Amino acid sequence: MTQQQEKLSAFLDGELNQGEDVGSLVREISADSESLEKWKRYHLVRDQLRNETVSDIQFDISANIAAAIDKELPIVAPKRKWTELPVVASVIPLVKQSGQLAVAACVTAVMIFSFQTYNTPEETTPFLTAPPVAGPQGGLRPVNLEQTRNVQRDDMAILLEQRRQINALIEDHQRQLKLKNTGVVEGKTSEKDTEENKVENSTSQQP
Amino acid sequence: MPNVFSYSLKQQSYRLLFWLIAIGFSAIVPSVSAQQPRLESNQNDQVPVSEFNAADPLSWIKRLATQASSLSYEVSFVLSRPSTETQPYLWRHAVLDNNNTVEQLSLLNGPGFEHIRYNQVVSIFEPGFPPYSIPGAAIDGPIPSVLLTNPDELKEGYEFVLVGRSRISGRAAQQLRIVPRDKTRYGYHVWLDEDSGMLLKLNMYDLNGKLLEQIQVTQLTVSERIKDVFESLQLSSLPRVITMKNPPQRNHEWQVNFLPLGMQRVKQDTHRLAITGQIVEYSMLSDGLVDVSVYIQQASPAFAEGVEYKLDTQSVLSRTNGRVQVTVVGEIPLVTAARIAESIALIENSEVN
Repeated sequence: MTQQQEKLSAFLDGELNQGEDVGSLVREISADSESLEKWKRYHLVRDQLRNETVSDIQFDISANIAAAIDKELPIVAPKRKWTELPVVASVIPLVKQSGQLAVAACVTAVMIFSFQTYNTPEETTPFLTAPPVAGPQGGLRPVNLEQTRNVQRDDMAILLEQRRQINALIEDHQRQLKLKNTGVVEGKTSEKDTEENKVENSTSQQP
Repeated sequence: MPNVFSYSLKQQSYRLLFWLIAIGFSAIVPSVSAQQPRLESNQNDQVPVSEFNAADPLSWIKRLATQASSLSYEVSFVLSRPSTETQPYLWRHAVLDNNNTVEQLSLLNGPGFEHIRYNQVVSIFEPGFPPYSIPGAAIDGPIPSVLLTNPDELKEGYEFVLVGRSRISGRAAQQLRIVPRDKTRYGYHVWLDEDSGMLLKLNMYDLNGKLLEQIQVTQLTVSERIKDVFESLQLSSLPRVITMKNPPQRNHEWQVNFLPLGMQRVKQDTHRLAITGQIVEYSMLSDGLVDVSVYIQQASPAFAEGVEYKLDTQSVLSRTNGRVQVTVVGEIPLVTAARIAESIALIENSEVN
């Protein structure tokens, strides 16, 4: 059996030995329904591996489904619960909806009240004699608020700087790729620059 | 049912048999009589018949290189990456009457860019920069130029595997895999036209088999008439070649101890980054297909915690010890970039510790 399987696989891959009788193998395979199934499955596997599967593969699974249905226990209708009685069933959604409505109303009320209380102090600040000084000292806002914003700005600055440097490196990488085929080192940096390089490098590498 | 099965079975077995015979025949014919033309050869085929062996994957790649440099063709292809827009390209190549070669690569969307290569000079037209020319044997486009020029370089780091035949862009194609031997780089699938040997499709996969980048040829025309397009090209209107002098360089005091198989250092220098003006010590590592840049510079506070960043297919990885920072940039997995970055050490016999 395994030998035949091997032969089938070799035949499929076109790696059958020269001496073997292809005709008889074909006859053997076509006589045996199991081998036929294998033949079909191997092809499907190969197509799948090569990503060439046709979209309308026809699995014949009707036989399996029929068998499964035969085995299945007969379906028994479940008992009705009290919530499914006609009158109760029509009342339940109403109750549910009204619950939701109540919640929505509460939320709206809270929003309206909080909005009003929040806004009142800000509206009553027209008694400035001079316009506020621009910049961080223009302190009408609470001090702590200003501070937290400063910290955020620092984070952003580092992130931006990091992004800028990454971009610089990627850009330089692309430039080097472009120049790779030329075999010439880019000479845009002047002699003075390279002198500086040497100095800076030697200092940076000293411990 | 059995009837249908046996029919398709018979048909398939006949087809298999036919291919067995055809392959056997084509393998025998060149060895027996080199003068006889190969079975599948057509007029466009300019590869010496005796050299091409359909069962040898490297032979297909070499054929691609010869065909790409000797034929006149016009290719439309799109480049797509999973997270970005697809980019359409037009690629023309012609061998003129006086044996000069002209090649053109244009990006067709947006402001785009245009590269024109005339023999060994590449002219680059980009938005935002004045046009310029540099000496070069190949255009740096989405298709790795080594595949089109010198595939022999790849033998050390990559293995070539024939996968099978399939149909791409309406043509019969041969599929090949280019597998990195030490699993430190990305792998490729290549589909080549059986008729002309030209590239039809190129996929790049990461180590888990996820598709990273795809080049799909949508139209391929191999014809002598392509060179008519280049008749209007005026050589005098191409920008002048920038002569670049090689500033004196001294050797770096560090080296990369871990190199993926087949990779070697192809360049080292010290230069300034164009955007930030930072001075970097620079090395380029290359296996022909993939180029990796290694930067060493003074540590910057922005990189204090090290950076691991992926942009499309590019990886950027940075490690720092507080004084010096090492950054590796290239189309390699982050794991490999980390191994490269961590293997950098000072050369032992220098006085600096």
